[in-house]
Amino acid sequence: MVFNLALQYVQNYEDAQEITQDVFLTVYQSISTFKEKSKLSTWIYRITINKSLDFIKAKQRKKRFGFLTSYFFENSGDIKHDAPSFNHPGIQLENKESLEIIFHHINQLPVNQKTALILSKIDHKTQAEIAEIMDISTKAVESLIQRAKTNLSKKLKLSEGTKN
Amino acid sequence: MKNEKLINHLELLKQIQQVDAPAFLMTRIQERIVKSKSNKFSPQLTWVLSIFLLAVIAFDASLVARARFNAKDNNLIQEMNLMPENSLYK
Repeated sequence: MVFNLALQYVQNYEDAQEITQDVFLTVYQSISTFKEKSKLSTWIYRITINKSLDFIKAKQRKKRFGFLTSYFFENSGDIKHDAPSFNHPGIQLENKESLEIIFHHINQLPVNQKTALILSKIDHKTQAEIAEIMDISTKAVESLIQRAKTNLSKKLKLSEGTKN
Repeated sequence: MKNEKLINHLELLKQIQQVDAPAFLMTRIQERIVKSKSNKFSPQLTWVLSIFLLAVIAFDASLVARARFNAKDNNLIQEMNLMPENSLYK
């Protein structure tokens, strides 16, 4: 559950492993603060989502900093171009190219839209479950998914337009 | 047409399969938990250290304040041309 959710967020096998470790360490350290207002699984879901988002932010920061250092110090020894980070073993080979494009656009969506879309379409959660995890109403979830779909559709159309 | 394409894309998302985490992940998590335990300060030690640190800072602050107060007194004596000692026939 934790590993797969992290994998949907970062789409990288190694990064998902790192996030999973962080999640369980946090669960172990903070289990005493867990108030049984929600299910344990919901609490772990929330931790996983937050850790995944933090990981993505940290990675982006690192990338920017790496670019700056390589720009100012040509011989810094840093790798100037990252190795391809898309490495999702749950994707069939024939769908890989299309899904890489879709995930590229999903990653550009606002965080709550991305979360709602991942939980709904990939993790197959019901709207009620998503509402509990995100601590919002089911109507808000419905609206988030709808907006995510609209934005995704626009982005896909735009990218197809630029291709042709 | 537009909707059809989006539906196709969303169908692709639904086809993503669940992946098993590698077997060594559990060992790594256990290792990190053990490591975090050994690195942790006990709460009592943390309290004792912080109280000691506060006491040192307070002592330093009192020394600085006393030095400033004495310096002020000397300046006042000099400004008013007062004798700093009691002996008149020195």
